[in-house]
Amino acid sequence: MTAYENAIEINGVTKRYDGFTLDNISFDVPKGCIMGFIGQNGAGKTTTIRSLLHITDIDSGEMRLLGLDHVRDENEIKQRIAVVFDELPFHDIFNAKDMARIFEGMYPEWDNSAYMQYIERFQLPVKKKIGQFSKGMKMKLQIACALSHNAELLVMDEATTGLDPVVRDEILHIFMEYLQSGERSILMSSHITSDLEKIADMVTFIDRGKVLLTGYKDEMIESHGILKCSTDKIAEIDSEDIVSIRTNNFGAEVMVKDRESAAYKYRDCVIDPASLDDIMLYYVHRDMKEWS
Amino acid sequence: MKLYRSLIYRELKLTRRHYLFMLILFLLMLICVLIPILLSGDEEPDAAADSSGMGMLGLMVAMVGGAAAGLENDLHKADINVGWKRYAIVLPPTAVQNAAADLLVKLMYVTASGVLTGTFCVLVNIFAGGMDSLAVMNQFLMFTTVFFLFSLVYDGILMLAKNDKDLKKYGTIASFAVIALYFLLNRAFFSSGMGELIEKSKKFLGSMGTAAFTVFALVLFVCVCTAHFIVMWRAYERREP
Repeated sequence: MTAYENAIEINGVTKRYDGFTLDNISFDVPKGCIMGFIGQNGAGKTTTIRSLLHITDIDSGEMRLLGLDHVRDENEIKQRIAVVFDELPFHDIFNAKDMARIFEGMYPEWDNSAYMQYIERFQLPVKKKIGQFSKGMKMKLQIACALSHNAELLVMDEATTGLDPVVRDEILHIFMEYLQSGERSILMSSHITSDLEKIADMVTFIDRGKVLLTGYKDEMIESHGILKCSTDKIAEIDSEDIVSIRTNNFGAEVMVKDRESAAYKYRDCVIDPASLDDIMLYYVHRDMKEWS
Repeated sequence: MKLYRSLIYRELKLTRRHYLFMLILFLLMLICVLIPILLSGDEEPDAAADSSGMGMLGLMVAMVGGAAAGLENDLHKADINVGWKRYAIVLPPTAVQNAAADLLVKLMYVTASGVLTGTFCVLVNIFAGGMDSLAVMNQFLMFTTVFFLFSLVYDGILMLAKNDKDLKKYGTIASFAVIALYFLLNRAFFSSGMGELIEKSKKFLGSMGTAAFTVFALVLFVCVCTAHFIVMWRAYERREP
């Protein structure tokens, strides 16, 4: 087994489609980290994840998982990772017990007792057909399967989308437990930034196929701020400091990249902390500069 | 071994309804055919009529048995629809292992249908006699191969198609190819007149009861199975655009 520092390394990956390009993206997920992968619908999150898992081929660049090449060492990687998709890919006629029988032969490290514990904890029926499960139950089953073979890396594509807050909270709690050893890592794509604010250590923000921000979540939130001022005041703000400006009847809200420096430079203005949601929103409108 | 057990378990569970239905139909047909034979056991047989009647009966049984074993089970399409095909790419079994499991499951059902066909021949020979068991088994193998071939083309189309539009396009091309093949065969067989065709058919059916034909049918079956394995292997190996 190879020693590795980063559970995921993505360097200069490009993938071209008709009308969309994943453009030279790069970011790393250090071992033991939860990386939130955010961006609006169609930003390139799913394409990145599919490329990483070699569901689709890339045009150029390099991707490594657990220190191994994502294509050349595919077979070894697959035994050591787990994937959760937004939709359950299991046939409706199976039940939870059937899935255990299917997976126990596929994964050398499949732990049936761990699986049954998750099933019990999620209060999933063992013999009921999957077709009769609710969306929340289906997602829980997929997560139980993903967590029961001691995977070192968990990759999730919009896994919490469409779930109610109670189920989402329960699932997030399980992920935090799963990471406790420090040997496991998670890449979690979502556009529900409140989930990532709760559990992510790091965040990568992708928009229109380009990575705009990547780094530690707390640093990202701390550095950005929303400066509130009148519309006349906008002209006085250095354009270098501005991500974009949201105007309304009461004035303007300006997203600044460096909250500390902005607080010093524009002492007469109020600067509120920004949430991940705000950061995403203002960066998405970065080309318009002013929007409402 | 454990891996294959898992793969086969999954496929058996997903295809059992299709194959059970086919096997039950086949079994019902065998029973319907066997009952009159068992009941007419004491009647004086007319040797010539009996021989050709048994030949036709055997051909019919072999055809239905071959269809039960070789017809497409739609597993591949169901896997695409439910998202398992994409999910399977991130699971440890390789494309070769998946394709091998597919083939093994199909061969299991071929064996089951073959056993039923063989048992039918034995029963007919015990109670009425006059059935060329080797010919029927060879016909069964040939029909299974033909239905396997259709299944192979269908899976090949599923593999080549990138979207629904492609699927329709390739499906239409395949349908036209089948119609063209039908007309070609029709022309080739009926061009020399009905009498000669009947003679040729009799000769061909007669040759089906030989060991040489068994070897020929087996070689053909193995070739189609190999082609099926390769198509499935490529299908599992294929990445999304």
